[in-house]
Amino acid sequence: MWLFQIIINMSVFMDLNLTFSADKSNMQQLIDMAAHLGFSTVAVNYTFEPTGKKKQAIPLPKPIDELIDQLPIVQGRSRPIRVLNRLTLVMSDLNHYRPNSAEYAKFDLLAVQPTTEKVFHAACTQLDVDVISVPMTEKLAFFFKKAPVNMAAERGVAFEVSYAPAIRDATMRRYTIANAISLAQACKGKNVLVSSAAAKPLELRGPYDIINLCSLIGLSDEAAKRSVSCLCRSLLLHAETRTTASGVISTKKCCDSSPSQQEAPSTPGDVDQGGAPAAKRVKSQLTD
Amino acid sequence: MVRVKSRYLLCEINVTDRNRLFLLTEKDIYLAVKEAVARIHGDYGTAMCSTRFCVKYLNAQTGMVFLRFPKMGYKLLWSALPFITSIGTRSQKTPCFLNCLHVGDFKTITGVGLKPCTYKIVTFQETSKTACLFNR
Repeated sequence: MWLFQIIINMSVFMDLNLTFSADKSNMQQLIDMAAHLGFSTVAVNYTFEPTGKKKQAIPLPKPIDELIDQLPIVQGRSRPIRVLNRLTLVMSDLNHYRPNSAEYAKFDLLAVQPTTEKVFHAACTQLDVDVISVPMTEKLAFFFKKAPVNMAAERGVAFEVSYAPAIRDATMRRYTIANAISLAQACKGKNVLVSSAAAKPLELRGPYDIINLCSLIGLSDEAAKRSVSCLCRSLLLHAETRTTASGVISTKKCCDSSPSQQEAPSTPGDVDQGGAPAAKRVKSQLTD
Repeated sequence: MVRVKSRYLLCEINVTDRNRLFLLTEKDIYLAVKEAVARIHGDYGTAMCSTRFCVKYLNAQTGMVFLRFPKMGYKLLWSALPFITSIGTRSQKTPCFLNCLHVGDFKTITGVGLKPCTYKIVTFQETSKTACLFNR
């Protein structure tokens, strides 16, 4: 119980959606700006849209050293910013999803953006993802029903709202707010992740500004703060168990437990050294 | 004692091009905020803005600005600030965004505002020193 309270009181802000661009200086500026604003972890997002029946290659994540030269230090803390890789699959058909694919394991976070109701239902109930990204730039083709949304919440999957389209364009703003409001009502404020889908450094916003923006969506102050800090952290833990959850690596439940996470396997005994590098496992056990 | 209460917001203006930052004046920011509030919250927002909103202080070198809002509904006006994408007249638009650092009444704002200000002044002096040495 006391661990639960520590997790609630931390104010570690994370932005788990920065659009990847091949321009190195742009990425450098973007990450510099995120560090300046106070985000301690960011995730670079690679979008992949499988179309047609042909097998297309899933983009490989660029290693962080290639992407930027030097990680800037987060303003207000003494550690450099942590940059992760994330993959978003824009899916309209369930056949496009390849479960347990080796390419998915290279990314730290896995997200899915459903465009049809079937895919949405499957993503909430079956698919092994961390984030369900709600398309903000168009009118929703389906409605959110409470049953799959609650099941997703139980599994520890979060629903994502991106705010950069709202900043760019007026019509996008209307769609964003409309979709976000219906999502917040369906979720009752829990498990809503708010992130920028920023392509340029000027599209980022500070954490307290985001918390205030959530009041427009209908989230309470607590829920808004949770969506930028605690929920992101529990999502990263959820993602770690996703890569190592074949029962081969045991995660110690007392260190890794977080309120929304249900899937931490607690098989005692077997510890395999080959799955995740030791540095990654140690990090998940540290409280920041 | 009944007193008219206001909320002060300490914001930092972030630009990609530092030279454009120095050209900003208090009036530019005032107009930009008013326009953003009108865009997002319409007539209701403009009306709330017209009573006791003003730009109390601007430091163009560091980008720190104090905004004063009426206490009632300051959150609504604050929620329009992230939608500011540029400040300036049609001829000289500076693309930037506002990052809110602290909310409070006047005493706490002036106390808190000094810390990030001094940090920024020190880093600015260091970068300008190195720039001068390089140019020579």
